Amino acid sequence: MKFEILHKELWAIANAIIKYFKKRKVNKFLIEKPLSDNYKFRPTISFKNGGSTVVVEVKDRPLFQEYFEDFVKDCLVNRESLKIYMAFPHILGDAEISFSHSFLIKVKKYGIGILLVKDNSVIVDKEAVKCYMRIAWSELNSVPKHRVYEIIDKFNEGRCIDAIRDITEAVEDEVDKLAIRAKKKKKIRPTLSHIEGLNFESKINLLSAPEWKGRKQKRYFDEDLKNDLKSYKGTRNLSHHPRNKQEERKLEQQLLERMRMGIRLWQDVCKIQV
Amino acid sequence: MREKELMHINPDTIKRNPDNPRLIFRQDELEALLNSIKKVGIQVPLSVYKDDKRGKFFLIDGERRWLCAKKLNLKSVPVIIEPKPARLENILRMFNIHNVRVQWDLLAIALKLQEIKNLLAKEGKPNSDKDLAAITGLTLTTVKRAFDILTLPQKYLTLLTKELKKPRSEQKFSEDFFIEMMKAIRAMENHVPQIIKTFSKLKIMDTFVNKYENGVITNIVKFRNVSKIARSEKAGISKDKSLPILTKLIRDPKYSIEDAFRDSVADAYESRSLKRDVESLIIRLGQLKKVKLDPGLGRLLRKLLGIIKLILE
Repeated sequence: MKFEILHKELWAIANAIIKYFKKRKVNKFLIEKPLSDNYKFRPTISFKNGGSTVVVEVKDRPLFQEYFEDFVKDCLVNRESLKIYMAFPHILGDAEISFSHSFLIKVKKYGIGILLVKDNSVIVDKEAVKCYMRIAWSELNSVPKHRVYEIIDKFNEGRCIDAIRDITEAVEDEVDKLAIRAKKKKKIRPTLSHIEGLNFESKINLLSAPEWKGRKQKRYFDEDLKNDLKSYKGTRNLSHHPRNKQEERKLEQQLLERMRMGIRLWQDVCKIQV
Repeated sequence: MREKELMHINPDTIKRNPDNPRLIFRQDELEALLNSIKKVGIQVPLSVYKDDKRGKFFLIDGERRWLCAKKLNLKSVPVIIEPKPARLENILRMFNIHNVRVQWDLLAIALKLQEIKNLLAKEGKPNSDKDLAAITGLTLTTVKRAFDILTLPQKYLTLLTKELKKPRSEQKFSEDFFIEMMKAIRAMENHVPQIIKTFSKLKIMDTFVNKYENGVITNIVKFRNVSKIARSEKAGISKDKSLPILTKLIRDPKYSIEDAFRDSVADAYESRSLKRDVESLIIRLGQLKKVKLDPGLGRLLRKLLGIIKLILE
């Protein structure tokens, strides 16, 4: 394959990438063509793969240039169904390629994949995350920010199931803590040991009830929050083995919704004053 | 002559100029330009000519800007459309436009100079180094250096091309390295041809390249000392002494140029240099005779007299 913009020295790298994806049943590649007129960037290689687009930018060294970063940001803002990879030769100069800390941080932040070409074969050093499979949460109130960002980072790195598990646990913990604090301030009726023995759903019911066994108590969850929390409890049981592209897309949507809902519920429960 | 036109055209309708001597674009320099164009756009129009037969525009000036425009998916770029030049005129215009602005790599210049020389010869025009310097605007030294580079074996031309593509800070071998090395080899060829007969030029080059790669030769200027060893007779040292040293320099991979210089002609060159200095001092002191001596100078001269007496005794 011939390239016009790519440095001739890197043609072998780009051709090894094409060969690698050809083996994975990709037949049509676009060379140095823009994704659309809206993007101020022409990636080295792009192709359709299972309903989404894959972009591979071939570089001689791991540097994150401003013009490339702008393109990546645009793709993220537009929530493109797109995976972005950067491809490098395995050897740089006389030594094995190495990545700076700042480069790795950006790669992680934007969910960019890394492909290394060694002796004409391709090593997937880091998988890319689809641009739309990302959570951005700018207003975080009441919740422990450090922990939320840790979970969001996990999700954005592609470890969605783990992140959903963490956020679910965080919501459940917060409901537990609220029940215990309410009991300590004598705002709800059951004993502490009784509360500790309740499952998640029963705790939600308890904190949503204006009275317990005919005796009045403080109601913490309104009907909407109660229903949301109940519908959220099965979240961690999401299947992660889709059988086809439609199922995969459906699962991705569910994961995104669950993650967003988890953060919102966590915030809502944290905000409640005992 | 047709007038020049300023227009905005799609960069996809432009093709590379096959005669642009700047064959080597460093990736890091291109990246910097990409960022700049992304921010402020193309400030200086590209120069192109239109090939009516092919319906395409060809670049005269601005290949890097054009590459960046394509990478950044710009819809249009400003261009000045010039009349289509003849082949020789095209190459010469490349030299005149580019060389005054950005320093080309010598290898790129050399390859195009060879083409110009051939075209001039074909048209029956004078094509000496001096003529080439005059029409390209290069200095005579640059022309000579460029042709020197072209005499390198193909493997070293390939190595050099590869090196030149790297950022300057990462380049191990430069054009200057090869030029200095070849001067030293030429000195051996002229003054101690036996060495060339014994080892061949290529073997000597391989040795020097390996020594430089392994850090035995630390500075390309040291090659000038090889020339001094080869010209040892000028310093009063016979070839019988310098020949085995040069042989050892080529045979022993750890024997450095500094070692060879010290073991052969360093003392002779030092005493030759000292002799010149003393001769010059005698002339200057002779002119001091009738002048009243400065007390500081008098002290230094008495110290010098003491040292001379010690040496002569």
